[in-house]
Amino acid sequence: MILVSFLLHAFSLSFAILLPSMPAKKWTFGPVYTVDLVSVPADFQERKSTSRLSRDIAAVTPRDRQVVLKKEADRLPDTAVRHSPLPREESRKIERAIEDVRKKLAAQPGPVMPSASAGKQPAATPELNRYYAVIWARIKGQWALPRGVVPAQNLETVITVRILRDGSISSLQYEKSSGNRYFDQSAWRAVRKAGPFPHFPESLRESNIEVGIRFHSAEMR
Amino acid sequence: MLKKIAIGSILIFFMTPCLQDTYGRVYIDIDSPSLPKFPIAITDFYCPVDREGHSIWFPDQLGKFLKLTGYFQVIDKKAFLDTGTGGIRFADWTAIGAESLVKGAVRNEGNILSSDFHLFDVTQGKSLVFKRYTGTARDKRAMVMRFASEIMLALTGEAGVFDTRIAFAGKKGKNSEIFTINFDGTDLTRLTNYRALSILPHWSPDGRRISFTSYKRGNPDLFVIEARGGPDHLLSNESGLNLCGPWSSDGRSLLVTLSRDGNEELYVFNQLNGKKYRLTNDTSIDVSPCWSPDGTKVAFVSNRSGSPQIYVMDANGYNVKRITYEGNYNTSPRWSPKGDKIVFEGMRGGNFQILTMNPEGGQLTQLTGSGRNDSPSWSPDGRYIAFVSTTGGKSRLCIMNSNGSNFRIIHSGMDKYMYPNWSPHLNF
Repeated sequence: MILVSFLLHAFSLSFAILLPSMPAKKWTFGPVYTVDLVSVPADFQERKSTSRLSRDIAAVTPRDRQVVLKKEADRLPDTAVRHSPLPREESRKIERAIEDVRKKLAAQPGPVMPSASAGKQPAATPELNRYYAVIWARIKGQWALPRGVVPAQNLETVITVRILRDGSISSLQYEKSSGNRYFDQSAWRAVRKAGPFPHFPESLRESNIEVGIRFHSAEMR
Repeated sequence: MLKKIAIGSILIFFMTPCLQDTYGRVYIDIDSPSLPKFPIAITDFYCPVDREGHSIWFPDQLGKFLKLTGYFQVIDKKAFLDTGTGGIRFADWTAIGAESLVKGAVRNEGNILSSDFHLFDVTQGKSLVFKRYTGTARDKRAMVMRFASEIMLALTGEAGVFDTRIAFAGKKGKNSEIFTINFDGTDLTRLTNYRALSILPHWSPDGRRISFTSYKRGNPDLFVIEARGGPDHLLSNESGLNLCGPWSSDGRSLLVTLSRDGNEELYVFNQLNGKKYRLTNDTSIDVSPCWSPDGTKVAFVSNRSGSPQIYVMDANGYNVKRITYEGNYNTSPRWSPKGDKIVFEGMRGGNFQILTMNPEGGQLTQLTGSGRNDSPSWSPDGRYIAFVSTTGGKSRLCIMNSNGSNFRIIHSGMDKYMYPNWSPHLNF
């Protein structure tokens, strides 16, 4: 009995000691990355990438004469390759997947940012960033709050909004309350009025996305 | 022991999904609102037999009250999509940018007028406030005012100042009389008719009386009068100045400036026993006192440093401290109802302008910029300031929001407006 008790205590103690080394339990999940919205496109349309790199590439002028940099490799002798027959269903799946990848690549105007692939979140393509910019502009444009209604301290309300493919809002919830009812309500109304948002861009394959909207009062004073 | 195992396994069970769930969510930061006013829609009221035009008058009057607050943008009826009388199509209201909607009905039965007001939050599709008022046709303005207060309370947390009036001295030629006027500029009432200089009206904390200084007997003496009119009562007629200042929150005492001992000094005048307790003792001029809302401090103006500047002292006259150092003429301090600010007038660029600061003299903010603006007075909720604005030789009684926005003229046409003093809530 004592031994069992000792073992259990040892287990719970080691559990307690090991606990801090594990990531802390978070209810408010911190951002892995935040979208930096510098400018909002007035029209939500495809724009050509104007990065320095692409400009440099575009600026390359073709030479007059073609230069062969590498000799053509010797052709391998034709060998009969035996195709192992795949089940019909399986091959169709692969074809579809390849097609999807091809479409995705075709839809991406610029290079994919390396920081974009964060877990389950959709990859942050420029197109997706522009979509976020539209959400930002829509909500900001609808946010009504007269000065003097809330105290002159910095408040923050975070509202999580789930947006479906067609742009409609499927759910809204407070992730963080500012502690001021009137500030919270104004933020909620702004998101409600801003929706429905535009349809997802084609490159975005997800059926829905979840976005946290952080409202601040710092600049109101 | 089993319990321990159970707790351990529960902990592990709950930890796992949380760890898995910590994927990156995109956050969008919005740092300031785009719309400085709440968009609200008010439909025509339902009125089956409408000989007096109530169906239009009620929404129009409500819109006027709401606009005056500076907090609302009333949406033009022409923009309305939902004009049906059936159920409310909330999406049609959010589509035109409305956040709130007011619908109402008026019924006339004999002499009885009853009105229903209903406020909705259209973004959530829910009812916020419903009120029914019953009275006669004479009460219709009060009904609308009451509901305007309800809207303010529901959307901003404060009932507004619809039930307040502003007292002031209105000058015609050499004389001035004491007047009161509604916060929306209606119902101008003259309280005195002395054909003498009467100045410095101050409301009692219950809103029933107004004290003031008048030269009606030759000497500037201190009087009190019922706010609804009636005979006056002499409070103080010391030789020299008897300048009226604010009432204490218990209504017993007044802050006054007397010059009986040679120069202007500040006193607390107890109306119950007639005693005057001297607060300042200085060879210079000390005038324009006001209490902090908790009554522990007094702000006033003194020229003891050479120019008129604002000072703060304890309510018993000790610990005098100068708080204004910018500008060579600062006067008329008034402590905000919440106690966090003092509004005053200061000479800036050759003209008096209205400024606010904190009670230590910091966070100086100039609220007005053009013309001459003076004599500030706080609304009881601290959200507005009444003042006198003079441009092109014309004097006007004005109000603005306490941050300097939403300048509105309340009254104009008199030779000169002086010493506006905002009433407490009058509950009418």
